[in-house]
Amino acid sequence: MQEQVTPSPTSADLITTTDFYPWEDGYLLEDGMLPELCEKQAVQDLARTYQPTVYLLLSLLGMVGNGLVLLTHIRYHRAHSITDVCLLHLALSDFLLLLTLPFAIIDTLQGWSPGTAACKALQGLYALNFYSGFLFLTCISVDRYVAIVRVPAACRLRPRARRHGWLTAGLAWLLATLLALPQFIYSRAEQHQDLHVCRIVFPPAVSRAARGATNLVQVVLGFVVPFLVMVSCYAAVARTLLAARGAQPHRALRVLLALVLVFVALQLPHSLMVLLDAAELLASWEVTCAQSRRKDMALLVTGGLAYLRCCLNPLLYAFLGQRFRQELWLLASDAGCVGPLDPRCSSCPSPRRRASLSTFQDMM
Amino acid sequence: MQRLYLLCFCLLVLGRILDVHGGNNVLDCCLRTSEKPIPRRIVQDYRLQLVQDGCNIPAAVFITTKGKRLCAPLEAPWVIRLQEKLDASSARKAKPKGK
Repeated sequence: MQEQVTPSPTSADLITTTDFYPWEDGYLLEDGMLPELCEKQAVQDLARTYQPTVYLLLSLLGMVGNGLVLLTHIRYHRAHSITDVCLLHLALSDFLLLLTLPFAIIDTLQGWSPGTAACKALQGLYALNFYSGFLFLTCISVDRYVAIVRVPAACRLRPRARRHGWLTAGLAWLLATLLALPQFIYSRAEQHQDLHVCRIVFPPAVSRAARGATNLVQVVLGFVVPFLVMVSCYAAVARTLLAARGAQPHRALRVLLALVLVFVALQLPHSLMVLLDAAELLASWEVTCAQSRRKDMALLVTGGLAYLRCCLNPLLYAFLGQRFRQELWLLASDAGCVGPLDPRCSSCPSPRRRASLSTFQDMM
Repeated sequence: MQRLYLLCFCLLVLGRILDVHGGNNVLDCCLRTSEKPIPRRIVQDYRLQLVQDGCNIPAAVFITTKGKRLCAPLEAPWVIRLQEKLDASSARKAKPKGK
């Protein structure tokens, strides 16, 4: 219909002179030719109910689990290996990450009122613990690989393992802090659609190229390297365990499989959704409003799943270990909750003939 | 070369994966814009949508008298002129209020 209007004197006139438009308001808008703002009230409503429930539940569960790991480590002070130290720091990192969730809930529910400094702390802590979690998982996989596949080297390193463990953890925290620097520097609270929100805002002075480079470094050090190291180490461990036949390796293999599967199952859906989001942005795909709503919804739901990983880490890495269960029992009996230590369990860490397997049992 | 490009693309995409979603705010955004001019008569106000606000594209959002929000390309001459007109009329309205 708009073609009828084109025979106006000049295009400039068309723009400024409204008298040339014969349509009624209703007609124009029902036309459907003019793109409208994509309103996401339904998704925002879901975010307001889903996020607080799931985040609160996860942060409570996760803080209990990781808190127990921290408590047993502090009380019984039994970090002898790099894996032990990394497990302790993984629990600390997950604990701090889950600690940021209640603040994310506040941000969703009523906007960000605490100001820019608190916003920097929230975003920075989130990123710091996100990266350090990945790095600790990597260190654990490398240490397990050395202990099981490279037995002579493991024996040689054993006397200094504790010191190495703390050194490794320190380096991981340092690297994670460096990776999280952009969040610490560029996060701020700002007005958006009559709501204060806390998020990263890169200044225009930071060029696209610099932002791209930052992203690249963050991804390579924070995701690609840890992930590849993890997969190759556990593959080598699995090969060694399969070569050593017997009942024990199978249990250990199941644990390994669970570790990798849980990581993939919880992290992959969210990664795929963000991938879709990124592709949409980078390739400037045109999506309809309905598609965009579905994508936001999926991002929201899978984001909750990704947090679940932090809650499951203590279960997967610590609770499955016999020693941790023993310490937990000890803790409970110290607190007067249960009777004295089960006599059967004191015989659990009996000396084993195979150094590699006993080390592995210790870790698992 | 193509592999390198693919690698860079993958890394960029992974960069987005690791992008921190602190508050996870779902925003109302213009997803596309149209070159078709919007008549001044039906517009009462406007606001700008910028990429740094979290939307994928920049756009001018014109709010019609009926409350609909229409998306227009930010840099188009007719959009700039319409914005100027709206700015001028809102300034006229503001003046008597002040007195």
